[in-house]
Amino acid sequence: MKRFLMTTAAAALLAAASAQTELNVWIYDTFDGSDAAIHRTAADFMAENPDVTVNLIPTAYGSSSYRDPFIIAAQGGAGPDVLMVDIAWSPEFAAMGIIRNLDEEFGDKAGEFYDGPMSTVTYEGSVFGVPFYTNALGMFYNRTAFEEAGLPLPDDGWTWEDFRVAVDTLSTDGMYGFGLQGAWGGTFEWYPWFWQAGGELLSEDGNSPAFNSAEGLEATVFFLDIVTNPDYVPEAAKTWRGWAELGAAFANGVIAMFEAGDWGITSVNEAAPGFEWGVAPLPTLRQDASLVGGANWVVNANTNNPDAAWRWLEYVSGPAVFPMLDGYNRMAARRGAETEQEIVSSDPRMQTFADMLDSARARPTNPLWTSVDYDCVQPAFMQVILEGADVYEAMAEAELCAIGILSW
Amino acid sequence: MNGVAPGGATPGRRRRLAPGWPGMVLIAPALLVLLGVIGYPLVRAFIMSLHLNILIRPQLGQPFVGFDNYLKVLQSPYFLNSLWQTFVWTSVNLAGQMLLGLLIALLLNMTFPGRAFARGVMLIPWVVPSVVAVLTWRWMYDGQFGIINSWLMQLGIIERGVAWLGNTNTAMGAVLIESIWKGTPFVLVMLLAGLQAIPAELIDSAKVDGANSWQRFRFVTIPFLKPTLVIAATLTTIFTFNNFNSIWLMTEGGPLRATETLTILTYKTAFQGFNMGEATAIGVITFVILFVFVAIFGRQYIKAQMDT
Repeated sequence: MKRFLMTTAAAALLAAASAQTELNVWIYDTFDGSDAAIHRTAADFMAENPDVTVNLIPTAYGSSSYRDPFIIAAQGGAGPDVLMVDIAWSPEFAAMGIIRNLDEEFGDKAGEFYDGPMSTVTYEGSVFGVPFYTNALGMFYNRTAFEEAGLPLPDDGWTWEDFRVAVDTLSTDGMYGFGLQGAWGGTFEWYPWFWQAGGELLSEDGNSPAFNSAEGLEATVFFLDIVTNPDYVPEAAKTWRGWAELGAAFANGVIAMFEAGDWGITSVNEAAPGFEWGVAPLPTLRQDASLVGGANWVVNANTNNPDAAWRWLEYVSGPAVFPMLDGYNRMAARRGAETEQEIVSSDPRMQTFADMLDSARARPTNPLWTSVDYDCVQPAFMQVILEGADVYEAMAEAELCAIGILSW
Repeated sequence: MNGVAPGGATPGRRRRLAPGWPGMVLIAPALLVLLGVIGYPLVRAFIMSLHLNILIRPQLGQPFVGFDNYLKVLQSPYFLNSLWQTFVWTSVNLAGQMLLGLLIALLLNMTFPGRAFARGVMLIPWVVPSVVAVLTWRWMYDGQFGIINSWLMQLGIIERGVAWLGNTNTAMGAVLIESIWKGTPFVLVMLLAGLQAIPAELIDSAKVDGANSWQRFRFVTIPFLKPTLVIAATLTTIFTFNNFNSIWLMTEGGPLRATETLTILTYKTAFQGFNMGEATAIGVITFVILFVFVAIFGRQYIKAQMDT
């Protein structure tokens, strides 16, 4: 009798298991952990959707460890059903045809998200994902250094000239006014300045370069003038390519200012807990501008469970995203983050970042833009920084290089 | 061994089996696995290199284009640059690791107090995981916090910190030093084993015959060590020629392509430009170059074996 009961129970379990939809979800390893918020969100989702089992698969964040393995798997017809992706990768995947077009499911939800993040899931007029978290670049500044130098603290509406004066004044006694990730040539930090001056990276159709314009050059010359001055920016910045390096340099008083998003808060706090610092919007010229970063959720084009996948996307980009992202000190790309998220409403620094979202822009969604950036613009910057090349000549060369790449 | 198959084969069938067939049967599974994991990707890569394949342009399809990808690659200045960087990278690594490895092996082959400890210490770079080693060296080279700059400034050699990995004229030297540091212990272990296999009587009799230490080294040690030297050189060449990690993690091939070897260029073409056709063409060219090297070294090895 006992044996009969056990057999029946096993059969029932098997039946339940076969009706169950398994959803394999890749997440950044940085989102995982024993009590990580996403596990609670997944549990809540499964309680509401008992027919779906979500398998969260943490994968090391990075191009070669996360993006490339997905490309290889998806090209071979495999890969996870759903994945969290960097906003820069979404258009690449969309162009390759390895993520699902979500126009039908998404409908007219575009208004629920901030414009910058929304533009990163849109490719050639179609929606290929939902925005997850977002951020914008702001200016981290050493409060003590500003006060000791008698400089006004940077605030809304400070200008390029204010910034230049501050860099010049603060570059003294072993301190440098500004620091950046020079291993990338500095283009990441340069985007906002370029847009503030009124420059456009690509023509309106997105198929030819437009960055070598008068406005663009004004920003490029101003920016590189500061970066190439050995008193303003430390030599060591030429190899900096990570936030840990910048955070350490900032917290140890080596650099007085650097550009970063909300993730920089953790880097600096970890490097020096008692250090006095603040975050200001980026200085402006003709208009405010910042650079959008963050992540989206996308669905593998090979998935056998498009319905369950969409339900997950809808859930993790809905109101459930606010408490979840509070657990990671990240700001949701969903409108309302300023008031709904405790980490934003309770922290003036996070509010500064939130305020900048309205003017923050994303890099072009043309999937060849990354190549233009890496193979044309970055080398031009490095030629100016390392070899003392003329800015105008270097940028003219970069334009020719970009025309070559964009005409593929 | 007798070659009768179960079930009683006739003498006629027995004669058709080659004498080494049990050995062939035994290595067959390994051979099949090798064919699967090496042969198949190799053939696939070669086929891919003959087709247009740009991942972000799926609408172009993947038409057969013959050797177009090869022509484009061979005409590219980036390819010529990376060929030169690969040559510098491999030859300096090879020379550095072999010379240092031989020198230290000779020292560690002598008897002195603390020899066992010294032998253990010498292996440290080899057992450190390459990612850990590279990240440690990156901090040592840092232009602001790096210990190398701090030493050089204390010695008065430089006045301001230098970003060793961030300047076009120092980056290759800096990655080479890390790579030689990391690779030398392997050569050292092989050569030390080779040195210990030389019969002591031979050295002794050379001494009795009046050979000085240089002559003993040149005419006894080196000929005996030659097969080991050739093997060590072959493996070092393959390891460094194919090395991706240490350069990628330190400089990503930069600045301004100053450390962009063929493996780095292949990766960038495949995953930055998403041009799989050209990337596999570079891969095939790399394979051919390496194959020629290994063939030459292989002949040397057989010759050295015959001589001893």
